[in-house]
Amino acid sequence: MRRQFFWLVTSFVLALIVHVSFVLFVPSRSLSAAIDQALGDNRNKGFSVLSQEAQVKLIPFASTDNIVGICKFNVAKGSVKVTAQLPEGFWTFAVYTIRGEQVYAINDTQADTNSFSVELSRDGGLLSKIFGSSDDAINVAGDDLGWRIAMTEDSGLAVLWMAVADPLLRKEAEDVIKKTRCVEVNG
Amino acid sequence: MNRAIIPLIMLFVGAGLGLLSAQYMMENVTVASPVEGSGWKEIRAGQQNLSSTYLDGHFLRRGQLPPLKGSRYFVRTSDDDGNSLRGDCLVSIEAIYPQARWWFVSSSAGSARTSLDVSKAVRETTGETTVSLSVAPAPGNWLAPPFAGGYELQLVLLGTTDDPTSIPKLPRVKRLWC
Repeated sequence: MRRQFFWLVTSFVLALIVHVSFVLFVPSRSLSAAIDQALGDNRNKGFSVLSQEAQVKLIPFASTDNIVGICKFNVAKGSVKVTAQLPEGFWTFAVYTIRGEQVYAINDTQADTNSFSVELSRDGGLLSKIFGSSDDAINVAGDDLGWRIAMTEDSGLAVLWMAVADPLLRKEAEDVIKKTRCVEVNG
Repeated sequence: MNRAIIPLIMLFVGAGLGLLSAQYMMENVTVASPVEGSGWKEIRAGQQNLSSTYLDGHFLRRGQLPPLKGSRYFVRTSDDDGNSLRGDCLVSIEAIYPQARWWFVSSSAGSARTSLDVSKAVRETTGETTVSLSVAPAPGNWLAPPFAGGYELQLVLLGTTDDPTSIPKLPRVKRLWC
């Protein structure tokens, strides 16, 4: 009887471990693979505007008429600076961790400018490392040009989404967004 | 012999239950609160609680990013009368919310998806928009579902002027013929 109880408890603990491991690791790996697939050959080029097919697959609210640019970054070895250039219109800039947690978002009306920079760096706080809370990953410092975001994880994704009011203006808007840069900053 | 098999079975069952429960939670528990009297269900993005882990996982395991914080994300699989949405029927989405800066309607089945957003839609004089869903072309704003079979309808609103905790006016979904 005691032996059966032992294996029942062991089975329950194993179920818990498998459950938590699956929820924590499998979805983020799927996202990472999807991002790599969306970027294709541009994987190491910093910021890239996605193809219309790729953006529809990656962003659940994107249509082929929108413009989506992404930068997959890693702040383990230093900061990453995104210098965004956008045309007039409705846009959103968001930063996600590789686990899909959105740590920052700003749109055109909130930013009140179409040209800004965002510096992404690793949050070194011990409590953040232990608990991984995104509450610390907010705008911790700012100046006239941009914001600094403390990431709770090394890897993440910066996403620029823009709604193009007139499909005929898509190319023009895309050319402006392509000027956006996403580069590592030493130190 | 039994002494070795029973523990193995227990471990196998434990691992299987862990896997199945994780998949179930991400598929079902995350589809959040039904919007009373509308047939729509709202997926609330960007909340910091345990269910958000499953909600994020729901999108991530499909290779998609979760919805933006501040966006309103609604889904449904049936019309206002409770009939399943099917591609071989003509369905009308009436009175799409005009106050959002941007809206997006899509129909999806598996990984296939078709969509229409505010930039391509023709508005009525009232400012509202009606969209017809059917495999066969329909006059006005037309969206073809991916297949003739069942599909899920999504409505995403961005830049709504309402209080984010309130429920915006959601469109009616009616089956016109089958």
